[in-house]
Amino acid sequence: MLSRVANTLYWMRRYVERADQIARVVDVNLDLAFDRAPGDVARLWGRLLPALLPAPAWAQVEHARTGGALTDLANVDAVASCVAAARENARQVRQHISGEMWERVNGLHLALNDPARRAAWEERPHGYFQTVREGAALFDAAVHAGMARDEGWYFVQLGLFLERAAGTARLLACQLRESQPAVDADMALDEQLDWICLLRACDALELYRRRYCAELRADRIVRFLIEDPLSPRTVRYALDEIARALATLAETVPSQPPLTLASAVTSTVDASRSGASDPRAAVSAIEAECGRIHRTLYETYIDHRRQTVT
Amino acid sequence: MPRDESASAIFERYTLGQAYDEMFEGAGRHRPHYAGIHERLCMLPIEIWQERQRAADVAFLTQGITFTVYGQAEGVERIFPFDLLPRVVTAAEWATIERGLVQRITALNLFLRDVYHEGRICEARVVPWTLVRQCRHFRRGMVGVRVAHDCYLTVVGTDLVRRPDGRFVVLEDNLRVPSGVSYMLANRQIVKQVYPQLFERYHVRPIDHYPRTLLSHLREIAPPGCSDPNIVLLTPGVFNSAYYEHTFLAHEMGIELVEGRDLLVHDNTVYARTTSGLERVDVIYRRVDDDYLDPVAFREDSTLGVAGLFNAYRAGRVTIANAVGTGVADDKAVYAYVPAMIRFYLDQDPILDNVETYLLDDVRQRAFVLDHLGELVVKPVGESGGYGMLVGPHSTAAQRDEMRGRILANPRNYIAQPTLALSAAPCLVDGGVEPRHVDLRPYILCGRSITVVPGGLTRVALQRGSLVVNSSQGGGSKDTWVLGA
Repeated sequence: MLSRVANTLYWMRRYVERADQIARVVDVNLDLAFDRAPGDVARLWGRLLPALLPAPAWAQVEHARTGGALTDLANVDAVASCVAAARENARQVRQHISGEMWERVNGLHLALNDPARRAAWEERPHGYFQTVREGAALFDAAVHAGMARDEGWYFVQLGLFLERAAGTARLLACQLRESQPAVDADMALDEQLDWICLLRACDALELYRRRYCAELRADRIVRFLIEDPLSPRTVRYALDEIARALATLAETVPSQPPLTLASAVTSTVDASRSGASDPRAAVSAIEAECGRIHRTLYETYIDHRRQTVT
Repeated sequence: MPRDESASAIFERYTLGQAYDEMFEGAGRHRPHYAGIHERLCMLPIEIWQERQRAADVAFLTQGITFTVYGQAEGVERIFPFDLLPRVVTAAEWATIERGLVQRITALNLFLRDVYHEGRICEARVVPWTLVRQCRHFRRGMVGVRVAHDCYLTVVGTDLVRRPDGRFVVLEDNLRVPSGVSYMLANRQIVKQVYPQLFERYHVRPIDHYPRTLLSHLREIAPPGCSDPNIVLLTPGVFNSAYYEHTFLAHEMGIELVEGRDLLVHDNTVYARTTSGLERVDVIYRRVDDDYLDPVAFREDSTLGVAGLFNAYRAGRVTIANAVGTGVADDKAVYAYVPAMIRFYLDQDPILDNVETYLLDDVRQRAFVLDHLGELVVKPVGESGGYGMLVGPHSTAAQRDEMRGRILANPRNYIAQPTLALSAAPCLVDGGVEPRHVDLRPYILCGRSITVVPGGLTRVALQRGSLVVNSSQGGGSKDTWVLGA
């Protein structure tokens, strides 16, 4: 497979996942904002926006913190530009993806740029984000149904799970910046809402309830999001998928030195199970490892300019 | 216009002009091969047609069949306007076209071999040497280069127009990197999808073997001794206006779509950078102009090409299709000599005529043209896509003056032709059916043999009365049906 194609497939999937994630976070927070005191809403956005948007876009929505104008178009643009980027990547590798995949991502792009729908966003933001989330889910279904499990598939998987692991870590870091998870269950209502927001933003509230019942305990939530190996939204699950994809790639493309997960991260994730380790340290180790995998992936498979002709 | 009372109101605004009409042979009398379409047009209300037309437009958009228009501040992605009513060509008409094209391409290929080797045709004073050597697309570096199987032309898209007497004549030979074939294939797919009933009374010859045929011809012209060639399609990249077509063809042929930055040349061998290292490339179907192929040999500012590619090609280590330097044979001044080439190389009379052409470096012809700018069409010799041309009858005095200045500054750079009354075909326009001018671009594929695919791209000048069909100038297209015998 051409290096450029592998790179493009990887980014295509990353951008769809990122669009889905931003849509989910904004949607969930808009929803729960009705249950909060006005001042608390501003605090919430001030905390979340840096995690979601690049710095310039963040400056644009600064006024949203005080004005309570939660339906700022910048949030819409962040989602739409991720979808546009995913679609542009898909357009460049159309022969490597199924027609169905293309039509899903192109259809989502067209829908988000439809002027009527952009106007409706002011009225009913939830509908807008629902479009994004459904579009991403349909795209994912098309990926599963239509892609051969060859090299390209594994680059797509790496894009998805690196973005997911990094995204979950980012949201956790945001949350932990303000509150250290308490062991006992006594939480103020606002604080409970924060943790529910986090779980829902990670699409993991239902998974958490099935695992632990509805009782909210911050330490459990952090551990669950980091280490649960069976729930597909956790860091552990994503890292397992990444490790699997890397191992298979190393077999498919044998001339390359194999790339693996750093054992440090695996042990960090495992260590958080004991409850003894510092969750903030665990989260930054995860973020650093996602960055390292991305860079090494690039050097190993994409930009191997130094390779000589044999 | 219809005197025939039974005809529906749908034809109310249909007027017959001087041009040949593809559907009607006289007021109210349709040609026999249009009977099926005519009947359906009379039968169904316009709303049904409009709804099908909308369905077709949506299908183009969702499938991403778009092209980019340049000239605005940034390229705008558009769908190629499509008209649902097919253009029908009879089996007898096609037989003539097919024979004529095979003859013409054979002669052009021999001409290319000749001008880059012995130059017999110039020695015999049939084509002037100066004319050939002055061509912007003549590649000195190709002189004496042995091209695999002497096949210079692999893909050709010849533009035909129909004169008022019904004869098809050749307007242009596109011998460099002709585009548009994906629209030919997509148009057929979409008519099948949105209006299958249209086919009911017709036996339309299939065209969807085009990519497979192209692939097999590309295999045939692999470098000698290469039994299982690695074939790639080289695109200028995602910003090229025909990018959709490049991805489509690569996909249909099952070959890799590469950009210049994916390739490198080492020891006169071309390689692609892959996840598992470097992979040898044997045949390049390029959709990049000569000028941009290799920054070392041609334009050094090109970032689309591959350094060293031309040397690898000259050493016979890789096949490039179409060959480098074919532009010399589709120069619009050289075009005037194609009938003479056919007589010279094949000792035959041309089956398809040329359009009468004035060469402006001839003093007498130039004087005539400058006196008649208001009636003629003037084209730059080395351009394509309808850029830089003047359509006399539709021009302003200022435009004519500007053209006069340009001709006098560089007469060799322009040719003139009479303004042709291109034939007109029925199109769905604003709630009715109206005639619009059309041309026809069939695609010819060559390797060790020549295949003329039965069909082509019918391009439509969608503005009422306009004669310019180029997609870059607001033209659209139709599906083209060649009927079986």
